Amino acid sequence: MVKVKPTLLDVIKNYGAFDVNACFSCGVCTAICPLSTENGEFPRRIIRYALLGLEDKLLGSTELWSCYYCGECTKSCPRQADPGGFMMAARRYAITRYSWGRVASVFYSRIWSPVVLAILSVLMAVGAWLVHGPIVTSKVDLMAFIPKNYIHEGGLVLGAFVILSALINLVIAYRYIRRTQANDSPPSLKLWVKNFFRILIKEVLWQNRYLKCTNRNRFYAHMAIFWGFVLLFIATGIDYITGMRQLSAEILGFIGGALIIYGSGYFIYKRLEGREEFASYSDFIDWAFVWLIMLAGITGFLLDLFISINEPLPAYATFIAHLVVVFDLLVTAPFTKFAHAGYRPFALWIDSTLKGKG
Amino acid sequence: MGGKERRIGVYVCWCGGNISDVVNVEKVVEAVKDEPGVVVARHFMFMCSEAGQKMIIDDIKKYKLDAVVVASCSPKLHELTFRNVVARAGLNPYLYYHANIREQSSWAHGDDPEEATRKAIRHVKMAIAYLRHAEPLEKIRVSATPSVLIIGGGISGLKAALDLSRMGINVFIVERQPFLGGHLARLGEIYPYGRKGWEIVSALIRELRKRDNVVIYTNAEVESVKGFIGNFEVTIRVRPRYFKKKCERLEEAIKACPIRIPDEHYYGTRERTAIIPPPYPGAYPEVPAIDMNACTKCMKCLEICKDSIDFSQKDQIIKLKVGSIITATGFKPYEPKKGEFGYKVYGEVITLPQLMGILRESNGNKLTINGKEVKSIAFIYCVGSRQKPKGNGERVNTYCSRYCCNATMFTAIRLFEKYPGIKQYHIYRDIRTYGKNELMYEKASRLGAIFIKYSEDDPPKVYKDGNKLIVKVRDLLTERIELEIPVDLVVLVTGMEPNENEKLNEILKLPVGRGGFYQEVHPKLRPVETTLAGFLIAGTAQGPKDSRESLLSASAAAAKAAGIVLKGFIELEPFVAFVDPKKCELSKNCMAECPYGAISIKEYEGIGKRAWVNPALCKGCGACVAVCPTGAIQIRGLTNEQIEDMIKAAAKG
Repeated sequence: MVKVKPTLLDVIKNYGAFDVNACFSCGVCTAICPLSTENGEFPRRIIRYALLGLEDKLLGSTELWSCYYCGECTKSCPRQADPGGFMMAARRYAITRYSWGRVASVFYSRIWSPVVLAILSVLMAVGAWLVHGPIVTSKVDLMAFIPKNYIHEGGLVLGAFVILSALINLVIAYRYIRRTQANDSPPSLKLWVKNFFRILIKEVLWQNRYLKCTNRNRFYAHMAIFWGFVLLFIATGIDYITGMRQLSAEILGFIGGALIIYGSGYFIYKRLEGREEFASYSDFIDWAFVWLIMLAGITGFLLDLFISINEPLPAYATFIAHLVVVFDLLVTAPFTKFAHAGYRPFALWIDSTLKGKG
Repeated sequence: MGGKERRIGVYVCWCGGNISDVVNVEKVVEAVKDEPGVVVARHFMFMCSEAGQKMIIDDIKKYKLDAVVVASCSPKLHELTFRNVVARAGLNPYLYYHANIREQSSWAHGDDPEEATRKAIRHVKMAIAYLRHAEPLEKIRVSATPSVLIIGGGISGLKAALDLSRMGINVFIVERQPFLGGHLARLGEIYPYGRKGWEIVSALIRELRKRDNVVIYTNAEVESVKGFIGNFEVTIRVRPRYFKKKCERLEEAIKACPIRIPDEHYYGTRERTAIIPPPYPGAYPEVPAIDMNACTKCMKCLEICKDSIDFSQKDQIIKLKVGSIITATGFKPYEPKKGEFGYKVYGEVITLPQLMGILRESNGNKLTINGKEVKSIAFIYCVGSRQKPKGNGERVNTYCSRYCCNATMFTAIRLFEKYPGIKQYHIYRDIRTYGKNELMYEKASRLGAIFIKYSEDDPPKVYKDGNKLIVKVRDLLTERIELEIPVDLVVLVTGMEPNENEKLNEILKLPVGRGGFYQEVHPKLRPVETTLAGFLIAGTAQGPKDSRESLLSASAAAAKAAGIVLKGFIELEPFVAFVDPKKCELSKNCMAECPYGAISIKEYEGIGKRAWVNPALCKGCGACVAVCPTGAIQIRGLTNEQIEDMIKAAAKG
């Protein structure tokens, strides 16, 4: 027996899904969905959970993350109930519920989200200004401008916060999923490990399911952002470990920056155009997410540019801007659209393992 | 009869090849052409064609025929065609016999042409034998009174009355309740356009009151009906309303009345006294009535409305003459049993009519029930409709009540518009918003109505958990999850039941169908007629209908009633019983046997008292013929002599 929560749909509707009431549960969406499977049937069933107010069932559905929003369901819905838009809204809702202290609700509030982002940005900029060292004007000397230990320690604190938050959120998500997916024989450790690597290679590094769902351009753009981040991460690592600018890191950074600018540019363009289903409706924080990625790329390139043409003052200003953007992006990652990078592979991993698939 | 030799023409039809492919039509003609009385015998491709009909007419003139046999299809199809053909040639149309050699020979025995042919020959010989003793017959003509009685003053009765009145026919309306209007007058906004039920009724009443050929009796019931189609004598009893005229201090009188009982006009959601004022604007009569079943005769009202109230009023008996009777006695809303989905156990469980009554009265931006704000409602559909037979013989309503899905959807939309914050759960079996009403379903759905389908084998349960009303239901559209829905109000969507008309049913003896509603002759071909000649049915007395459909059937019944009474006379087929007074010995067996009360005793000149058949009442069933010890009573056009001769002809082959 399940107690109905009458307000569930109202809450989800804050995040989109405006037409979902028109759904009469025909199941065309599920039939047409290239990703729905017999064991993981969606969107119809998930919509039903939301309509009926079955909160735990909804939050325990790994199907939320099996959906990549290709929009086929929305195109074929006979009632124009926008099942794809609903799944997106349900993911936004899930991100708020999975986050510790429901912190993510702040970022999905149309009022508080810009305020908090502004405060974070100002704090970071002021903080950077407060700790800055000598401003060398003869040449660009970033290490002198912001002493390395601040970057080092600040980075550690930020990293720890993000990783810890992400882990806590994943545990909360896991508990929701586990509550609805009770199985008698717990999967073996071997299966856990095997599926971890299978999902990592097939669905993270290569993103196979994404390709099943959508047009190639969207796949390329998404891959560009993902691999752009990976390359930038490696480049930063090389710089950080060696303590000086390396050619290899230069090249990796250049490619990575180009990739994320291309990828985020694609998504910004699609969102502005608003013609394709996946880009038809965006919350403020969704917009902020793609723009922050784009800005991270642009400020990175500008910084490189000013260093190479030896313009110290613009370089320092750009550096602060870059730090602000990267800080905003990373500190909010476990609570915004960015969090899908964790939830999606995580859900695929535990879903396939709990269902005994290898 | 008997003395005169008939000159008979026999025509065998091929029916294209329908007959002639199996039956050897030439052989049939050959076999009967020398039968006594047969002057001419022919066969032809299509007797019903113009050429075939002309052939018969020419032969009648050329050979001076006085009787005709056509051996062809079923008499259902073409008997009337050929009766008209012989009539056109100047013969009596009843000197015609239609032998069916298609359905009964060629189609039935396609595998054996020889036997089929032999059977066809017998059929034709029987027809010839019949005609040898046939007499010319005339249709029976009875005069018709140009007035119509309408039983029931609801929307259907009022509409039929208005239609008939406009055709210049006198109308009598007999209404059991103290006021006209029926159920529709009790409703506020109704689908599809949101016009108020009582507004529609009062518009009809306003029109009716302008007419001078309409007489309305309220507080009245039919006591007896005698006579036959075109000529009914009706007795009605009018109960007093104890008010002679309006009273200016009526409000005070009502306040003074010590009685408080549930007000039917609001489906019991409000209380009334023993004084019933006109219950809605435009109600008729405008004079209040006193409900004597509730009144204690305390006389407190009399002190206030001295000039208006008259407790000495007595029942009045009124006799009416009418040509036709329309029964439009309406329905009774299904009243859930105590405990059925928590009805009458929990105050927050009400019926749809009750909710509509509450909505009529509610203002402001909050809906309250028993002083508590309503934030969520569960509608449970098909309560008292589409019930499964229990197997213990107890009567259940197996039919769908038609209006309820639509009415609920309309109410849901109104609720969303008035109280958008209220959550609505619609717990249904099947949504039957047929026709244009489908748009209401779509609208309600988009506005946020949650639809949950339940199985009739596993109906929802209503109970209380502490203070909270809970509806438990299994959702068929997920993995059959058992839902516990907390709600503030449960609305039982109740259907229609036949009205309580025991007394009227005894008087009229209208045929009643399986659901207990009055039964039409044929649902498509004769949808408002009953098997009793002159009796028509309209509205929900016939079965569940919404107001639109009720009005349709009322207009249809009015048209049919007009068809009966407007001509001034009615023609009936002549095949009825008649008495040979010389043979009758007054055993009265026939009178006891006749199911239609058509036989009485009459003084015959020079003979004395003998049995007599009223041809307008007789249906020609023949029950009297079988019980007459002296053979005095026979059916015209099917006399014993004719039947015996036909049997002999058939047996001889």
